[in-house]
Amino acid sequence: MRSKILIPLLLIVLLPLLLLSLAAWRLVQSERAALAHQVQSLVAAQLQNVDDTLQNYFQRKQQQLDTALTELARVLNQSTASAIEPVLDRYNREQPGVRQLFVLTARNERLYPPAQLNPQEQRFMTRSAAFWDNLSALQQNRPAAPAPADTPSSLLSRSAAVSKTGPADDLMHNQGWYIWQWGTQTHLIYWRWDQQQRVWGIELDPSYLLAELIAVLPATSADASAAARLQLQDANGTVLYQWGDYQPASQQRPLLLRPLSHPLGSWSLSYFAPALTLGRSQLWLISLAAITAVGLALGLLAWFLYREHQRELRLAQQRVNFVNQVSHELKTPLTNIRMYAELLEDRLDTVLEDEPHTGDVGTPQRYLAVIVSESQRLSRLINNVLSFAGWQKNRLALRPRPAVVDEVIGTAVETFRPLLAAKQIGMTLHLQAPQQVSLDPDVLEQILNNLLGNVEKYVAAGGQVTLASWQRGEQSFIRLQDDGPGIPARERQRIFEPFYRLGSALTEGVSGAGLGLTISRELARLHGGDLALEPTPVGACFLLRISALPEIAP
Amino acid sequence: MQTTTERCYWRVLTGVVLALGLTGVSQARQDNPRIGLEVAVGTPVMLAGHTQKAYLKVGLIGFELTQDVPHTPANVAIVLDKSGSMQGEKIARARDAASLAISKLGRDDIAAIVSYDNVVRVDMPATRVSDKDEFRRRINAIAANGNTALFAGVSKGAHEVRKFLDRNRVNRVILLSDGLANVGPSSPFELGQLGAALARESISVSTIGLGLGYNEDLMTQLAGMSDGNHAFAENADDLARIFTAEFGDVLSVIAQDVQIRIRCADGVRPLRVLGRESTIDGQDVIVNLHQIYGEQEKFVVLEIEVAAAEANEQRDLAWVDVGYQNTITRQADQLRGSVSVAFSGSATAVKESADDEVMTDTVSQIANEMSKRALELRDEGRVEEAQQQLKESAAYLRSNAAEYRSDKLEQLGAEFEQDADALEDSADWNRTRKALKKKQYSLEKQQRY
Repeated sequence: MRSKILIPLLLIVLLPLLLLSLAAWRLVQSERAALAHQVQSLVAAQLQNVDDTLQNYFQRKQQQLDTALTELARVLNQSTASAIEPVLDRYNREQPGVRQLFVLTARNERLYPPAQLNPQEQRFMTRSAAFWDNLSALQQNRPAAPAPADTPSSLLSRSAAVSKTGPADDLMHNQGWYIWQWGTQTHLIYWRWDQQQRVWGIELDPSYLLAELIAVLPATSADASAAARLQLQDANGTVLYQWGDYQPASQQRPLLLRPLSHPLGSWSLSYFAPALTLGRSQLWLISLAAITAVGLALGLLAWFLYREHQRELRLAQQRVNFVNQVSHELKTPLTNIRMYAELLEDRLDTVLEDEPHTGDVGTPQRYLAVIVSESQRLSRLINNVLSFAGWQKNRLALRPRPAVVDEVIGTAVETFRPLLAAKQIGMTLHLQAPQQVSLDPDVLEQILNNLLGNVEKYVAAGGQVTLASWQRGEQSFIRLQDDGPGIPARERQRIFEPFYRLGSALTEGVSGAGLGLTISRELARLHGGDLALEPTPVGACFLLRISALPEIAP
Repeated sequence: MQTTTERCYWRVLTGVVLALGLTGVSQARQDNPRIGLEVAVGTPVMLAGHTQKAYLKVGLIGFELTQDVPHTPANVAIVLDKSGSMQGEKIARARDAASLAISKLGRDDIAAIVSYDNVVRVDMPATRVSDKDEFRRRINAIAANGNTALFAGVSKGAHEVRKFLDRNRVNRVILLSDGLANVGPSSPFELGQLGAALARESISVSTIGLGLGYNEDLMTQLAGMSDGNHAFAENADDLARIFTAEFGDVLSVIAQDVQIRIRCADGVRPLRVLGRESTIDGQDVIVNLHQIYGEQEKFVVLEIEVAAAEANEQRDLAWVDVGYQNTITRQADQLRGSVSVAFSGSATAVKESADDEVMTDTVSQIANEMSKRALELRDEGRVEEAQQQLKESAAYLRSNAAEYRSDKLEQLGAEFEQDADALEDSADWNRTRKALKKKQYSLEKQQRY
């Protein structure tokens, strides 16, 4: 009994704590996710900023180049091809960041550099071969083919496959950027059609381009608000430039990596920052503290409940012990009273044998009969209580010996005859269990006393009760049927519960502890049988079954 | 008839007028100083009858910068390496040298301080040098730790210089590095490309290599392509001297963006320019120099092939046009020159006519080329061949020293002998190589220090 309360108490303490921990963990997770998301969007915005800066640079560059090319085209229009050459030469040689200028006529013939290429120009043609391949498609007014599958595999075409003109420069447009990787450097060509359908192009010097990009990107300042590191990487992942006060660990992964916009689409920006742990640990600390506090409170409550429960149990136990003790104390005196009352009854019968007696109210025999029956009743009650106590302590034992069922029935019926007669309850007997079997006659008598006692208590005056017995093999059966008020269907099982009495006008004022049927069934079961209530249209019908018990060696 | 007094009077008057005139002339010269142009050929008289090589020298001599004329205002960025290897004495001396350099500048000058390790910091953006204490304070705040983002450092330095880019200012980035570039582009080729591109913008990069850990090919390429100076500071103590010399150069610039165009006459074929980058387009040769310093000569030697001619013929060889920005007068100046040659049947006449100065310069350039070839051989591990080459060039120098009566060539010959011996020592090769590269560079560019 003791351990039974522990489990619910434990559950009272642990379940809320578990739920709380779960909630706290979920909270922390969602906080962390929200924080991470916030950080991600901040970082993404920062990277977008950098991308915008670079985009601005390219716009300015484009404008600058457009201006120069427009001017050169204008000069070209006003002069011959041979006269233009020195002008183009000078532009090629003197413009910072211009590696090679080229001009194609409307018919795709190369106007500049002229047919005779010097070594530098030859090198240019070699490394920009992929661009020339792409360009023929442009001239045929077809939309730009995606990386062609049938190009021979070589470093060149691989580079070509990687680079393409971006969405901003559909080859149907007037100008665009063409980017490709050559060795370790990223090369860029700005190309453009002019009014006369000529194609002008400028290959930018890769080192100078990078230097200009670095110039527009931020330097590292000591008082950066958030310690972070941004890295600009080329298509191979090589770091070209980095800024920010934070030095990432050697294998640290970036918080965010995003590719740049065209024309630097193959380049990317990485953002490194120390991992966010501070907020997390704070949140954990708080939730841990909360859980501990709640746990303590619940623990205290559980302990308090447990103590109270234990006290209640102890009190209950004390009460039971008291009752048992009292019953024990009562048993011996009561036995004496009964014994001497019965002795007196016998004596009186002998003494008053000669005198006629009617058994009316007022005669000494009647008085004695009352004393005897009441003391018998008390005995039965005390027996029930003691049996119940014994059952609770698992100390009920049977003492089998050879006996006859019908004889035991007879004894019990005899005991109740005067009581039943007083209530004018008629009893019919059909006894067919004359076999001698091994059983505990005291226990059987106790059961019968309980059943008959109920009949006497609850059956109305003038009622009928039938008692039948039979045997089948090792088992003996007794059926007791009365025509009293009966037991409602829904109370069928409950009447066997300890201390339970039907709450009705019937039981009001009738004495009883509610133990009779309880202990009777228990004893019947102990006897290898059972006591059950059978459904009847009228009254109550109890069926008792007992088995023959194995003999106990004396 | 003039009396004695009248004669006296006239004398005095003439004297006064002359004196005034002279001062006037010299005043004019002061008001409009120009660079001196000398175009000469090594052999003014050549042997008739065969095609032969000759050497053309175009020399530019900077005029004197007098005290009362303010120097060309500077627009410099000092880019310091603050990588981990600079910790300790090196960064301390670098800081001191930079502060020393700043102290030489004035209100008209603009300076920026940039430092780099993994990342680049602009310690002082391009500002007028009026508050030198502020400069000093920021220089002293530079602490060493990290890797070497050399390319980025130069880029940011150039960015600072660009803010006040002016044809009439000395626009220069001064780079100090003690180690190998390992963040960003780090090959001599890429840095050379950057140098060339910056030169077109009129920005030159001077490089100072500190210690034995830097890449001298990279540093010389960067400086060479942008026509800056290159120096090898073996110890941190050398930095003060080198920075002083560098800034001495910066403050003595008198001309920038010099373009020399040599138009060869018919029958003259330009072969190559010794020691400098050039563009040869048919009969035209174009060489760009970044700056000319006061009282210093920079020259260009062009190797030409002259077609055979008859004896006693006179031929024009070439016409030279030089354009430059005079930073003192703030004007664009043009210089013109030409040179011709005579032919003779007599070998003695040819020999006697030789222009010693031109030939000295030519020989020293050729010997320098041989020295560079020797370095390449040594890099390939062919030590003996390299030594042979240097010894040959030493002998070449010596013989020519005798012929052209040149002490300079004699001295150079002796140095080359020593260099040949130094090639053998593999333990000290790193130091020797750096020193050798620096010497070759200085000779090529006519660097003053």
